[in-house]
Amino acid sequence: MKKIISGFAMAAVAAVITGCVTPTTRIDIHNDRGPQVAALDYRDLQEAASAMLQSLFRSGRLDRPDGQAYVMTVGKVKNDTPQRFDTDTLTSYITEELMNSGKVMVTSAMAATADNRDEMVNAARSVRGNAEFNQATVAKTGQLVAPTHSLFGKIIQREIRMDNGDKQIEYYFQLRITEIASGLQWWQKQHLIGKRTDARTPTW
Amino acid sequence: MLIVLAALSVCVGCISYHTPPLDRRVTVAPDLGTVVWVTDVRLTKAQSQHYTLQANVVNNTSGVVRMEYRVVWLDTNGVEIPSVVSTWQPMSAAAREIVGLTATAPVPEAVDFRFYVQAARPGN
Repeated sequence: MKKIISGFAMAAVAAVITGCVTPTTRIDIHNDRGPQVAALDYRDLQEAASAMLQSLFRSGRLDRPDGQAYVMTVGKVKNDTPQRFDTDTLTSYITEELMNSGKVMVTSAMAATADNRDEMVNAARSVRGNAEFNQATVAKTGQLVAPTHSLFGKIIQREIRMDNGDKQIEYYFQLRITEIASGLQWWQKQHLIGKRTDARTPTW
Repeated sequence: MLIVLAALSVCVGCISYHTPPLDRRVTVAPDLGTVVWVTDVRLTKAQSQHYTLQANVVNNTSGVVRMEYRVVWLDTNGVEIPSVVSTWQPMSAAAREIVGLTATAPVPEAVDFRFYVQAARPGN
């Protein structure tokens, strides 16, 4: 009898525990009705990328008189927040759209971080003179294209304690493009996203 | 009888309906009803090869309205150009405010657009 009762008790506990678990669902990224989060999520990155890109397209800076594409390298984009995420989640939106515009080519031969460099560019050149490779198919010297512009920036997080004890979080997305030949800054944009939340809500 | 009809027709002619301007490129979601109107929709290239859309969103109410908008760009064949610039963007309009919005096309080939406005989703 005791065994039966304890069995029922365990089943009841299991049912309660199971009932508390939130089932996994896919995010509808086109019509996300999920609540906001204090940390940066994909909606913030998309909003920032959209604002940056529209500023750049509207500026007319990409319209080269000879119709040729600029060559851009991805410089350092610093994550100056306590949150751990790869800033490529922002810059890949930018570089993808720039390439799609037909006005910019992005080089993989030169970049600030190893993640944005393709090691195969150099590896493929290391087989020069290797009899195993048809030398006519090996990249010749002087073929790499140097970048004309560099994209760099940072993401800043600033936390402010409000008078009522809550927390205000300000995220500053800053991107800049430098013309490499002259060293002059060619374009820049800052985009701000602000959030308010309970003081105990962590962002990391 | 004729005099009554004539008087009626004159009266009807005097009634003015407060209706929003119609633009087939603009869709205001039913959840906003007539809370906002979209007016003065213009396309310009200004200093760039990319079209920039400008539109005024008019808040017809005496309160703040929180909304979202997105602009979908179309090429010469009317085919949608997928882009991160076409994601929903938050916006708000103060009481009776006319908010000027701009959106720039992601490619020079974009020649037309669809402009959508809806009430802000929960949490957004």
